[in-house]
Amino acid sequence: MYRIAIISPDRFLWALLCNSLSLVEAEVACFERWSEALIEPLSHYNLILTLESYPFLNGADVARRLRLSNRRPRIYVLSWLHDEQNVLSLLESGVDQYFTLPVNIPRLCGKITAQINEWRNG
Amino acid sequence: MSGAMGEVVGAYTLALLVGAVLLAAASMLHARVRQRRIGIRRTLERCYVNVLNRRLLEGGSAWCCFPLIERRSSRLTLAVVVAQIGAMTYGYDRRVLAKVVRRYGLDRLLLEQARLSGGMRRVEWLHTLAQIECSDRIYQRMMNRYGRSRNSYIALCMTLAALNHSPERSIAILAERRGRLSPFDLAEVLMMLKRGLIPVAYQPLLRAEQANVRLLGLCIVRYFGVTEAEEDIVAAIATDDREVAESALFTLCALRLRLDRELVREAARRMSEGERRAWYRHLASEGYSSRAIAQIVPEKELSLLGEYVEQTVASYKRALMN
Repeated sequence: MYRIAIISPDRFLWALLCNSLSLVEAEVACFERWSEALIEPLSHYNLILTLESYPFLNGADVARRLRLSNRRPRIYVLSWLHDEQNVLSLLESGVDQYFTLPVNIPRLCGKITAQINEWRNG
Repeated sequence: MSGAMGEVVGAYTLALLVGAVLLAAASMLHARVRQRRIGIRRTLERCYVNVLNRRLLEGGSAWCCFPLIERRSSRLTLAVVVAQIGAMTYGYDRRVLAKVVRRYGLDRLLLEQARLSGGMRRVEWLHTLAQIECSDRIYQRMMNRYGRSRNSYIALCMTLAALNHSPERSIAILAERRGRLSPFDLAEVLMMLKRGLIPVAYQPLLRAEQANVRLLGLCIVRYFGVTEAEEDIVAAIATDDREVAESALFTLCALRLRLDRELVREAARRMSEGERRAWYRHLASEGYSSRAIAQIVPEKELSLLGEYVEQTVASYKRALMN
């Protein structure tokens, strides 16, 4: 079973994403903060869906840990920020996909399902 | 005599102690009741999100069943959920959300709640109401009551409500708006654009006469990175309207277009010192080369710009350069 972590301080989006991803064949864990998610090693998860982009931009430990990790999870960021520089900075610091809000939930689920299928097929 | 005094003081102390204990107990009870209410609301909210989202994802014609919906507070929670789903997502069948609003009279309920509330609470309810599809009657009632409000927050809610209600008139609504749209207001309007409610054609917006429409046009150009709009942006810098000219200048930088133009130099000269500093900071964060900047910045201010570049590199970008 593949593991997905949702990190969101916004309770509404948390519930919305959790419910939407229940249709995907994966084990979903939800956290309010990065600090809670970091209790487990990041390699424990196959995919991290986060609504907090600042750990990638403020020089925090997350970006470095992602780079050092051998088996790093895929990182998807969902954010209200949409300026190009911000998106480029996030991609440079190890983010795999960037979605701006408002988001198309079926499309997001589709991308995650496609990613899981890709892993499954090797 | 002193014994009687001591008794009186003792009685007062006892009364004070009892009062303090009662007050503490009451506040603890209040806190517990409040916590319980919040807990119930969150549970209901999550439940409604699950029901509604599953219905939207799976489609079909079966009606959603919302628990405890007969309560007024539950219907208000449902209204917030419907508005949030509408605001944070796109691509869903909006008819389902509209049907939920109609069936439970959520628009009427929100308007009533806004009337009963005051201050920012009222603004919050009106903002929620602006994000759902309300009936013509409720829309008219809302406009009659709050349409002429001088409160900037309420005015923004009314603009959003009007855009949501008649998206085909979006340009006219923005043109007729009395106050200027701030960058934060524009961000809210832009969110509606992403949900497909406002046309994306930027050229008529940039060439319009009304400042609000032009500001929205520039915002769209920045958002989508439309470098083809260079001519129109440069033309906007030359306008007499200070706000439009400044927004156009920042748009030009955001798109990393050529700055070596007389119009840009003139616009920079027109700026106050504070505005010019803000612009330099923007130039530094956009990553313009020192040669490109040297052509437009006066020599005596180049050191200031160098300082901003250093600050930018020393801040969050350091993590990316290691």
